[in-house]
Amino acid sequence: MSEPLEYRHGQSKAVRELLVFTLGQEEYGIDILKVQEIRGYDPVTRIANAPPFIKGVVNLRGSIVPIVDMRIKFGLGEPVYDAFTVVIILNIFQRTVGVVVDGVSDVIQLEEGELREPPEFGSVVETTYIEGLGTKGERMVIIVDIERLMSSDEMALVDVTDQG
Amino acid sequence: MSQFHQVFFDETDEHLATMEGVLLAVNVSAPDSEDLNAIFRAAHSIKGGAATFGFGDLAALTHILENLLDKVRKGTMSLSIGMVDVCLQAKDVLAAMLAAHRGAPPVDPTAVSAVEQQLTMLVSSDTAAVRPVDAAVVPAVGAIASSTMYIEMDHLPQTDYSALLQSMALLGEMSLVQQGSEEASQPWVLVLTSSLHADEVAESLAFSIAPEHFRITVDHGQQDEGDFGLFLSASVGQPAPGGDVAFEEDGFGLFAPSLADSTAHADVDDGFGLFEPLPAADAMPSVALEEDGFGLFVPLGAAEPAPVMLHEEEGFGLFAPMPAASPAQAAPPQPVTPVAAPRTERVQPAAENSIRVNTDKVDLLLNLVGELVITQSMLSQSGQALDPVQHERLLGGILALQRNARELQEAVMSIRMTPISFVFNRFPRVVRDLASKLGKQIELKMVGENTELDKGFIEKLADPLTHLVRNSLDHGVESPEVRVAKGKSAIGRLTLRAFHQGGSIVIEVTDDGAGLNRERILSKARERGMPVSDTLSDSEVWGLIFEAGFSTAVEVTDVSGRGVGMDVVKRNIQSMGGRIDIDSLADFGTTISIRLPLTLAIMDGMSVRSGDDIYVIPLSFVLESLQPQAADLKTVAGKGQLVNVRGQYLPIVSLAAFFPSDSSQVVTDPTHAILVIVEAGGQQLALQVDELIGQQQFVVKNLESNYRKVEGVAGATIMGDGRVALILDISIIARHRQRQAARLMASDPA
Repeated sequence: MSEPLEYRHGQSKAVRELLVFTLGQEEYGIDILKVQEIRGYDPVTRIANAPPFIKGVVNLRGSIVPIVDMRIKFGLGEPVYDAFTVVIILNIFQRTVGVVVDGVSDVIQLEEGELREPPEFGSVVETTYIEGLGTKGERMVIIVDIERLMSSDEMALVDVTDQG
Repeated sequence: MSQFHQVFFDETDEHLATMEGVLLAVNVSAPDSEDLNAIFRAAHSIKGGAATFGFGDLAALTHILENLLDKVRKGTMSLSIGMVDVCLQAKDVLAAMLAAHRGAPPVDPTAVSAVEQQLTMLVSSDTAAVRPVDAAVVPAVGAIASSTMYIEMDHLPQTDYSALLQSMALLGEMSLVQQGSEEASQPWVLVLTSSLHADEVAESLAFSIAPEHFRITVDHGQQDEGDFGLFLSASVGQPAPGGDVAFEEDGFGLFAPSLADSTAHADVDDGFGLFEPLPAADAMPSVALEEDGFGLFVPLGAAEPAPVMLHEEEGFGLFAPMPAASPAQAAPPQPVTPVAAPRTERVQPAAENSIRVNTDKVDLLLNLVGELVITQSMLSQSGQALDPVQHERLLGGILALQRNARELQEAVMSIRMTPISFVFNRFPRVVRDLASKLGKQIELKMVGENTELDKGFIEKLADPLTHLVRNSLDHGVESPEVRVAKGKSAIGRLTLRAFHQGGSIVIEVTDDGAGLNRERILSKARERGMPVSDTLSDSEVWGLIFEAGFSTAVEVTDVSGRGVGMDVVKRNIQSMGGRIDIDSLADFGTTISIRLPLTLAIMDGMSVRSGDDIYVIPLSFVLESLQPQAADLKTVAGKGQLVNVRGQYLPIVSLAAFFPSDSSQVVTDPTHAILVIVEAGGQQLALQVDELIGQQQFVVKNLESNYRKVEGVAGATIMGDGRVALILDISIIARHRQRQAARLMASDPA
């Protein structure tokens, strides 16, 4: 993520900027505009009776932000919490949510021709949340509709309406 | 346009509040002209805004109200109590309409038409009584009469004329006669047929164009011909003595005043002073006398050089006043200007001293300052480890930072503070209405209206306080006969008092009525099967009235006595982190005091540990905490444990059972744990925790803004070390336990 970015807004080809993170062996890309910041893992305050992948809440400059561990959610990687654990703070549907991933690799720009239709199967993330595949040379990145994924019922982050 | 709606709503709220306040304060027999003007101004501003933003219903009703107020203000009608009542009703309907535009359910149209009818009746009844001859003119004045105006606007480079035209079209029927252009220095000319007065149109226009750049001319030709004839005959029929001039002019309403208005509007952008009929009348009294029936029209025209008439096609001699209005330099405006000008000057400074800011922005600021304070306390903690001699400058800096951060926090907090008068102001009305309904005489006194408290409380306080006031009036204060028989003054006193005490705000509702009846409360409690004894202290007895469904009222009235309420009041106050106390003495009166923390954002709490987790219990729920002896513990077969606290058996609820902990070191034996006795929803229970950590103030944060609601958790807070702790919702935990107990009972075969 530290490599200098080439901005090509002046060009005619549509360019999508994605933040790429890894979960197990797979590389996932999310819209960079949804990312607020990337930080280390702070100790969380557990929320009793919450699903195990919701680690708890942290204090992010005065707001209470829930932390979701994608590794536990999708049963990938080793859920260890150390100085190298990475949390991506997302800004989606007017909320702030932190997700723990295996690692953040870089930011890539995809041009129109580098986008592919989503696969029928073959990733840990359900296909409904996959927008497509991005190919960049040898690399293949699964593009996730992170907003849809995080607001889904299975993430249990948002109140189901009328539950009181 | 819609981004201005909020501003309009806020302003209209304020105008309505002003209107109500002045209406209640006004001395009906000898009203102060400043008061009458204030009411009129409020109505007028609402109408102007409503018409501009296209809220036709608001504009229509205020229009009728304004007509009435205008007459009162000019002294052609005298104020009566009935009139004040109708005006107050109209205010309520307006408030309801406003709420409807904000998304509340629509207003009952029958209520609207009822108020409209009453207002129209008042307007016409007066006219009929004072001037029967002119009765035929009334519909034109009282109901919505539309008039045609010619509007001429200079073409200005920075003005969006298409938007302007659109907004003008909302005011009535509009057609564009001539498009303006800069090169030809050609003005825009519009014809507008609208129910609004010319001055109102001018006011709307003044939002977009400086007043000196437009002119409005009123044409009464088409619509008013009928009235006109009538009026003429009326005037002629009357042996018009000199004194009648001003009076006639009023009755005519449509003509002369609006003329004077539109003319003067050209150089004064504040319309209020212009309504005064006197200057216009003064300008031409002698002429009016000589000219008999025509007297009214010609003088105005006469003030204007004759040639102007030529370029208005409809110039049937009678309508001379119409052209007279267009040139701003005409003679009549002069006497008007000095009336209006000083008022404009007076209003402006107040507007510049305050700004409207979205509360979200203030909350963000508060959040950031809170963070700053936490960072600062972390800094000072690390600073303590340093050698004070070597790092003198650094430590001095940290100290200064600490002081500044505190002051900054206080300053930001004060932004959220609003005087309690925002809540108190509604009570003169409530008391007035209720007193007349109950046939009691009440004097309301309000003390400490300027005491400030958090804006969040203001909204939440209104309902509980209204309830307490109604209760005091209904049950507390006796009827005048009873009071006299008791040797008290026939007029009951109700005092609302607000003041600061320590870190809290105290609001008291005091009446000098009958006081609470100890025997009646006790017998009622027994009737309801509550375990009470005669040895209860007074304050314990008074506490009983907060039980759900408890009412000692002999009969149920529509004011109170249904027994719903006091428990709701208590729950509301508790949810704000406050508490409520009663003090009462028979035949001397009752004082109910509400004690609230200074701000909603900060709460007194007790932090406790359960396993590895820290939780905060709001102090308002905590009665005491204790470490039980084994002898005090009783186990009810299969239904959990009870603890004996001074003869009372309370159920033990383990926090670790409610919020299962990861840790294995949770204390399960109550004798090694701490029991915090809490009270919620009228019942007490013992909450078992591992350890008490401390008691301090906590900044309350919302958990739901980024996460979902968690059962049993009211919010979250940030501890001194920057970590998050959850604040417990004791009432939910208590209710949860009740449900569990009920389930156990149900499943029990015995």
